[in-house]
Amino acid sequence: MRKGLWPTLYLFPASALFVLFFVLPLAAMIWMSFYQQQGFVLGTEATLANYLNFFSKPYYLQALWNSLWMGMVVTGISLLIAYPLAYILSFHASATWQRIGIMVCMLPFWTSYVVRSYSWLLALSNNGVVSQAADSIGFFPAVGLANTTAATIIGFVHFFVMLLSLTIFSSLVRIPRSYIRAAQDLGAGWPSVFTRIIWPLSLPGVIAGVMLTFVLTLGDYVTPQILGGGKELVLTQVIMLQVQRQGNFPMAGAINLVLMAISIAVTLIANRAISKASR
Amino acid sequence: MSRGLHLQGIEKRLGQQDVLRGIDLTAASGSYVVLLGPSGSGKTTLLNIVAGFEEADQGLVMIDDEDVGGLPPRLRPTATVFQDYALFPHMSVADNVGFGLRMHGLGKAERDRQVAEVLALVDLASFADRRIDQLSGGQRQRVAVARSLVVRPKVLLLDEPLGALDLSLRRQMQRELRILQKKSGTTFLHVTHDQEEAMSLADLLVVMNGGRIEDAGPPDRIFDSPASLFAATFVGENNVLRGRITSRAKTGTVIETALGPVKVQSEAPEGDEVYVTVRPNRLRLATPGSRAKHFLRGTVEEVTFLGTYYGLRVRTEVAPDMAFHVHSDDRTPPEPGAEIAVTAEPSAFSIIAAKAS
Repeated sequence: MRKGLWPTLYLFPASALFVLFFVLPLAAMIWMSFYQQQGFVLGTEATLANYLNFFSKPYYLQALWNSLWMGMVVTGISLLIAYPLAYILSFHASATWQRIGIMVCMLPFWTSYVVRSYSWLLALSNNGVVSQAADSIGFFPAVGLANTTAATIIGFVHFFVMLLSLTIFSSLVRIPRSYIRAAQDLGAGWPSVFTRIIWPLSLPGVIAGVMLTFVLTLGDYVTPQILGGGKELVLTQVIMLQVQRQGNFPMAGAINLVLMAISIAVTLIANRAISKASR
Repeated sequence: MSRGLHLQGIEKRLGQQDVLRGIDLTAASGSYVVLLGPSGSGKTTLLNIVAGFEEADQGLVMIDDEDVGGLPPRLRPTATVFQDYALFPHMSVADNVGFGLRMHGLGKAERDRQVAEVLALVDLASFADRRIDQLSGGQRQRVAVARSLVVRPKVLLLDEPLGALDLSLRRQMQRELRILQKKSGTTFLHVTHDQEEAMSLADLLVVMNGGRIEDAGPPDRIFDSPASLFAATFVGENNVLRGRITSRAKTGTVIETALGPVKVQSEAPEGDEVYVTVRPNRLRLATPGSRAKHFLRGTVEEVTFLGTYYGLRVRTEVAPDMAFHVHSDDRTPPEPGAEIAVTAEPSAFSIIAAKAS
């Protein structure tokens, strides 16, 4: 046996696993999405009917819009909260506070997102902490926040603020302080220092975080399912309904591939933007 | 003579440590001032106080007779060339250089004109559209200087600007800095720990140690007759002897040292306890058999070839705990182990008062 063959053999278990549990199911899903479900069997002719169906029925288009809208709102709110947080952490916090801040940002990653969602459900329910607190200060009746789109957004934002803070923080701490000194020395006030130095140099972290937030929001099923109350369905919920209620695997596959195409497109655009911003 | 830069009674403490103690310094407008000292001597802190990045606890910072203390860096008539250059990586060379002009509200046409002018001055006219990571170390250094010069500061501050360059490039950049300074007529305040760089650049050399100014003056004066023991040993190689003045006369002073009496021409300071210093290049090997009065007799310990001369380390029995340095431009220097005698003119020596040091 030649010496060069061994490394290839070592790759075998991992590749086999990857092919068996990722490539094959994916291929099956793609293949299936071009056939129509007829009773308990697939139709005999390949067709685009599932896709045409998706892009013509308001039910699906509404779900697509709900998903995109959710992604944008969650990303927008998370960014608005995360950027100032990361900024303060990297420029105005001592090393100790930075460590504590990063620890706090990491905490949500260590809990199961199912558990996290149910915790928010409890907190936002009629007798939950949030409603009670809002009631007691007479702020606004927060009764009934659970099982609404707002609850989904709160659940998402909680998690993604932490994620975005981490990616933005990692960009901000890498900006040499001498750049800021140099800009001030050349006559720049704080607004100019921020818009011309800090913001452009933090863009790679911002774009990476925004991309992750958007794509993960789009692909998440658990949070809207547990917190959203099933009134305004997003794509992932529609996919699940196709599988669980209709048993229509080809349609579920087609919707899934549309979702995947959007995620891949967003990722590619973000990657290009990052390499452009970090040049 | 207008005072380009005037510092008076600058004090700075950080926690328990005195970083700067009683700094007084006046430099003529348009002069090249070099702060020379080891790390921890307070020279960078002093630069930051002039720039406005740090505030002095006490004292006066005046530029062209105007008190700038308390002003933030952006309102001071200074510009800084940072040790790491701090060039903005997301901007072109031209945008970097034009940054200060833009911050001062100049229009694009005028900005472009001045940027082109200053880039030509530093020999980088064709590099305007380059990105920073496409430049070599020397080019970056010139962009940093151009970016600071273009805003026409009254004082240009340079924080170890050549520290990142290799030796030959460093010597070249020294010449270029010197030429730029003369051309622009700007007061330069340059911080370095390289004494050769300091001597070759400075009109006014300021030797700092432990937060104090040890000596300030033209480099040749500091080299030939330093004001303190630290200045004598930090700026160039030197031989130092402790001694006591035994007689003072118009024609010269006689000092009793470990090597016996030494006759010295320079003026004697107050007090009897002094240091006598003599540069290795002012010591001569006595011709064998010469009956002339010797400064020292001893054994050659080590001979080092240094290009234009040989450096000899000599030890004498009279003061065995001291090594003396002698330069010899003789192409056949004595071998290690040889017994030699060394002479010196009375004018070769300089005297430093042995104060509290």
